Amino acid sequence: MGKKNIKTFREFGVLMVMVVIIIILSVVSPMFLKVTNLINIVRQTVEIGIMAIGMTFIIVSAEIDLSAGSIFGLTAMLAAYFYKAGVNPTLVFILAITAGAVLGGINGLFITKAKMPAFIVTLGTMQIYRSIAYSISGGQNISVFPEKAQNSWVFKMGGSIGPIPIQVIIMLVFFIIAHIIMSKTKFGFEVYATGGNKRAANLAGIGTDKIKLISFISAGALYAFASQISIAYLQSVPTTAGASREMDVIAAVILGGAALVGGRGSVIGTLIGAIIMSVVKNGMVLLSVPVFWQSGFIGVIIILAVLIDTCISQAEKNR
Amino acid sequence: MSVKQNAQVVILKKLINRVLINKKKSSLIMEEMKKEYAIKSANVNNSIMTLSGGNQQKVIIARWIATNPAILMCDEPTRGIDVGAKEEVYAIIREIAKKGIGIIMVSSELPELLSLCDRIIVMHEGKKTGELLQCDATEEGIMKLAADVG
Repeated sequence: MGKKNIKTFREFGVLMVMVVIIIILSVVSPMFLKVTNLINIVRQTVEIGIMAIGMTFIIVSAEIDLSAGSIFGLTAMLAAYFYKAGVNPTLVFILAITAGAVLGGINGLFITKAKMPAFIVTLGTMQIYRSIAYSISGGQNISVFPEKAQNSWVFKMGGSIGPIPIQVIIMLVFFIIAHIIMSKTKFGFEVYATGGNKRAANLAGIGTDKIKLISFISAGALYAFASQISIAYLQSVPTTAGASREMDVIAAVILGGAALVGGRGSVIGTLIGAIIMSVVKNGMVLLSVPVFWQSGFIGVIIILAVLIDTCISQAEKNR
Repeated sequence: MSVKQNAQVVILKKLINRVLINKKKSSLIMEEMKKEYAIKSANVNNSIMTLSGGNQQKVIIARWIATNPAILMCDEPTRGIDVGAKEEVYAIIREIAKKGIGIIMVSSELPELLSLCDRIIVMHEGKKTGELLQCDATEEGIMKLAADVG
């Protein structure tokens, strides 16, 4: 790859995987390349994509967040409850995002201040947040929102400008901003340093705990944002909203070339990873793959992608 | 982290215009560092772990000097690196001292203390047992103070 470094090469790898999958699907299924289908795919990428941005910060800083789906569910439920109660939509939106940031912050505080492993903390909060969501909803789905909410700008996020869904534009804006933050600012630099070698980063004067805390808080806010887009689009919140969503999100980040040990990964890779996930899901529906096998197939792709990645880094080490 | 990231992690403020890191400036400073400290690295984007111990140490010293410190504290600056690299590190330390930067060096290697330091403070079990100027310091004298038998 000449002067380009390893990171660019990795993104190139996942990009190729994506292109190959798209070519195969467009050959075997005539439906695949239709504009409506493609728009559908990007639309399905939005929620996982926005959540995966937050997860990228967390995974690159060498932590993990299993509560992503529950924060998504709880903030969705909380917002739905207040929309239904007729509270000012803008206020509800701000409340939901703040709640997401606080929930993420709670994870971050346990991890950085109490020095607990992220896996355990978020395994616990995953269940706690989910329970709170259940108790808010009373086990019932919340749907049919009042006019005031329906006509607000928050619900307009579910609409389209011409053929392009607004949520897709929002997602792209988020990805561009996140990419600039991760690759060109001091904060991004310090996230990579924290994940690469926490002790060395500390010795170099980086407040690694602060970096991790900020990652968890901003990730929480991003999960909440994704949940608001979901409400705007679906106009309904099931009690299980976002359940096991964290696995799809983590998978997208890993597919995008991030390492669970931290220090490696990129926002662009994550976007490609998220697109691969929705392309494959869409393809399986088009090819009428039996439902039972759909998640299994996703599993196969994750293992294959990481296997290839591991082989590449081993080869680099031995060179 | 790469050689470049390691070299610049403490001087990020200098590389930033408003909010973004200036890539050109960062490459320029890296080139200067490589030249000034004779850092041998084929590609500064490779992991710092690919460098020899001596070159790793030179990168770390270079990056702290880049912060324009008044005092540099080196804790065992030559531990675990080969003889040639040790000499290079000594040369760098002398260079830095000539620039007027004060150096506090902690070391358990007598020869390097004797050749580098103007003033040596010897400690025994956490307490200062003596202070020697370079002209009166000998291995024997230091050892006596260190064992606290003087």
